[in-house]
Amino acid sequence: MSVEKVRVLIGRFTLDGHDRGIFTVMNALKKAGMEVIYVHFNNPLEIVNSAIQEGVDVIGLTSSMGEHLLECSVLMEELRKSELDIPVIVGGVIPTSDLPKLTEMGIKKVFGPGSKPEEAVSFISQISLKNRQTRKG
Amino acid sequence: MSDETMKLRREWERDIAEVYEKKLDFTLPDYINESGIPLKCVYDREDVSDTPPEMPGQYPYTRGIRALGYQYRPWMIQMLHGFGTSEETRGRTDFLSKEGMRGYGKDNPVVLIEVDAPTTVGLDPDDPLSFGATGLGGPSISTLDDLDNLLKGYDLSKTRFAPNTRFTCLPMLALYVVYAENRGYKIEELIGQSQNDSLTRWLTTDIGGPAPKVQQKLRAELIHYTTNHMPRWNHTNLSGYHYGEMCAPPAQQLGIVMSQAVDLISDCIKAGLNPDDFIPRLSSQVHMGMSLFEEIAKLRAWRRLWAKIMRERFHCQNPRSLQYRMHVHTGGASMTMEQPLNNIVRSTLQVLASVLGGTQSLHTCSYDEAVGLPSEDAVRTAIRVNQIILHESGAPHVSDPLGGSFYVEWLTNRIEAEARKVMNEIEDRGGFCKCVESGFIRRLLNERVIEWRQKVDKEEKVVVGLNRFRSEKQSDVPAFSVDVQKASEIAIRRIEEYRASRKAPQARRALEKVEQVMLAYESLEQAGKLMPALIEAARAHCTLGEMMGAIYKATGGQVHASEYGKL
Repeated sequence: MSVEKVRVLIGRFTLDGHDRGIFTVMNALKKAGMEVIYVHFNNPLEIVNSAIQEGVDVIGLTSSMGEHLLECSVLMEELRKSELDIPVIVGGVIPTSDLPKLTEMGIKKVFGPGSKPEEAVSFISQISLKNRQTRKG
Repeated sequence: MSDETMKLRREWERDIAEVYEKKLDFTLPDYINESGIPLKCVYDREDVSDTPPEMPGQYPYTRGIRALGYQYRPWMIQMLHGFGTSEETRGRTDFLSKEGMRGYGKDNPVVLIEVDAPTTVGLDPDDPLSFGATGLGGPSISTLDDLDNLLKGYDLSKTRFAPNTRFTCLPMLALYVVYAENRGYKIEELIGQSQNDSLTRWLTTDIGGPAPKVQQKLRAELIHYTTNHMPRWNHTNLSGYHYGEMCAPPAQQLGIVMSQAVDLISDCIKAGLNPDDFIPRLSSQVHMGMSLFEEIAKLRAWRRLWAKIMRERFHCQNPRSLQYRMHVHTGGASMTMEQPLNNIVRSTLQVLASVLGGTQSLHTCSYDEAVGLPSEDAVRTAIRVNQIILHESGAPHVSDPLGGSFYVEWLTNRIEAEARKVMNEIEDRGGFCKCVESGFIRRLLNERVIEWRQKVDKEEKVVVGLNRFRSEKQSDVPAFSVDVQKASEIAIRRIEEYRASRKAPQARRALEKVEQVMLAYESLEQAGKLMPALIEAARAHCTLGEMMGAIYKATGGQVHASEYGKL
């Protein structure tokens, strides 16, 4: 029986030009057999809408210019309005001092500087599997 | 090879074979440098027998573009900075100047400003697309008032103003020209720097903007204008930095930059310019990585390759066309969050390599840059690295101190040869702009990014503190934070006031003119009309976003044009 591939939406915010990190993460996700949908140059609402249209398991965001707090809070608000329970993770240049605020917003996990792409891969695969089982059950 | 040299080399080879390989059962390491060049364990006369004699200040300028180097004047300590509001940025400028940021001398201040992302693409702070980005990583600079906040009190005939813009170099220059004019300066006195290399930024950051063909027209227009009206203005700073940050090795960075230079110069010739009139005002922003000798050789090869191309290909006669100047930016991506003080050591090596390679100017990254913008403490240390090397190490006392080193001379030749291969490959595929459009260069870089990651994961490449020699205890550097929301509110309020206080019909007419001129700018031969129209618009108090909006309106582009219809 074939298992449907894990689908991940990767979002980069409107004017953030840094993509070296997210590029390696996307490469690792693809290598792990996941399907990656990449939207960049997007605002939080557009990212949420793409996630809804694509029916993804996880939303992964990247931020390297310091926009993470503001953009993530707007995105989480939009996600709440959509009443969809899609786990959101964030990576990039995120100072550890901002972790409590991001957790409070409902961000499931943060991969700051020094994280390995494989850490994101294994987290995404675990959380997707768990959510799929919960939905079935 | 002389008999004596031959004899000594034979003895050395025998030592290796008999002692190390046979007795100690040691296998010689096969080191390959970042540029993919295999290294031997040692170099001697034989490896550089074909290197012609050369002194500093002599063609092809491998050893430096002037007869005297740092003995005559030190390198510029230019620190790229900017955040929050224009006032906060000015506060940082003053702090940096006090700590030692300067041009060639104390009387030559430098104001190297990073602007926020909306400013780089041409969006005013009140544009919905600027949401969340205004004041981030630089202030919003859209008006003459914003420029005044950055520059009031500075003697503009002595100050090197260099705003780090992406697609908006032309509207920014128009604003600056009008700002200077209002303060009573003649434009021919101005001595700053436009980046004018949007293609590199477009290619490496993947952010929308005008199509590459439009960008080619814009860059030629800026050069056309400054060459005719602003002889002291440095119009173009070709970036190798972005390629370096995307893991392109030294020889590849050089090859890509030179292929872009050839493309750009050919465009300017089409636009009616004489090479010897504008080439002297070209320079490069060079990346500095960790591969010490390779980086030194890169800077030497950079100057030499440039001089050769300008003479052989563009038949330049003006010596200044052959003497290529560079500004080194140390590698931001080599900074780690782990054990952040290690980053000072990395910067030190990079600054030293830049000085041994003979750079004209340096920006040095701060040790906390893996977590955000630099704090005052961190950026002061970055300046101190320069001052310690300048005043304590003695490194700048002798020009091209590694000239004549068998290894460095050999490596310089090899880097030059490898860079030429990269150039040829790009030219065979139609040149730089074609290869930007086709995605070829981006693919080259993407491959490198993946390769870097794999090597780090497998520990084939060691990054101390990251994949080896990690410590349990996390030494956290506090991240420097900016009140971006406040900066954004201030910028929005100001731009509304700026628009409200001008004569709307005049502003509208000026923008319509920009749009018309851009529409009529069909080929490079027609260069020379857009800048005057933009300067008129800046005089009518049009904003940077509006001016860029008028250009986008004529050409299309992925960034939504700011609406000026509502005026």
